[in-house]
Amino acid sequence: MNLQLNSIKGLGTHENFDVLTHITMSKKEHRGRIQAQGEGLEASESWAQDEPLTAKKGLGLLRRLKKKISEADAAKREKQFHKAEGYINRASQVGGLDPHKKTFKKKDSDARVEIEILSGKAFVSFLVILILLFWIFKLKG
Amino acid sequence: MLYSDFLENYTTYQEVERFWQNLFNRIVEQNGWYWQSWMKPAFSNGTPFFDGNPIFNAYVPEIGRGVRILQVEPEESDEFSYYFDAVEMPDGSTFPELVISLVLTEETKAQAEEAIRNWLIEGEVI
Repeated sequence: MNLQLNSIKGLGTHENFDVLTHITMSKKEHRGRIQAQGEGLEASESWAQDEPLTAKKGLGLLRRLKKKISEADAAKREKQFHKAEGYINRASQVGGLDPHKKTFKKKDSDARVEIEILSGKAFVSFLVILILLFWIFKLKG
Repeated sequence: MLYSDFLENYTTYQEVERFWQNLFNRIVEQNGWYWQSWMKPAFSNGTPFFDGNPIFNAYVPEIGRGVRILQVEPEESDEFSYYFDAVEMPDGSTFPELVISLVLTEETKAQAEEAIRNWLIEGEVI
């Protein structure tokens, strides 16, 4: 936390907001981001929530990221977006993913799509969420 | 190309994993360091990725730097390339990492070893 607070000093207003948002989001158990990077591009969509991210929501974030960047940048990473989509779908069939970093990099370029699960779990199926909720309520009851 | 069937044969895949572990061990042990893997290359239920992405990952606590190797098939990867990135851990701490993407050959093996050595010892890839 000291490191985060120190990093606020000297930053501009917009950057302050980002850091404060990050601190707020850090309190959530399930966090991560999907990024489009390389060749000068830095764009991302992130999540921070109390329950694991479903694969459906993960795919939604991926689509949002694709729309957020220029058509040219998206086209350049078309194959990488497609692979990321397949990866999220596959994860949902095998219990999701724990903290992890996956890079889908374009050949002969540093253009890439990255999926980072920073904490908790992501890309679970809705059924897994239901089972988790069932156990939580059962333990509380 | 070394271990050319590593994405079809899981025994070969495990051999490649050990190959990278041994290569990395040699470098860190020469410097009296130790390393640890910071992520499990598997889905939550234990199913391994089995796709070479990453084939190896390591963090060296003494110097606060990491390495990740993406080893894929020739049509999917550069012969040899690398870039620098940052890893954020669940506790919010971060460390810099060298990410190498390659098709494994005798030549790229030597390139990777040199890049890893330079990164760990000098903090840069010369």
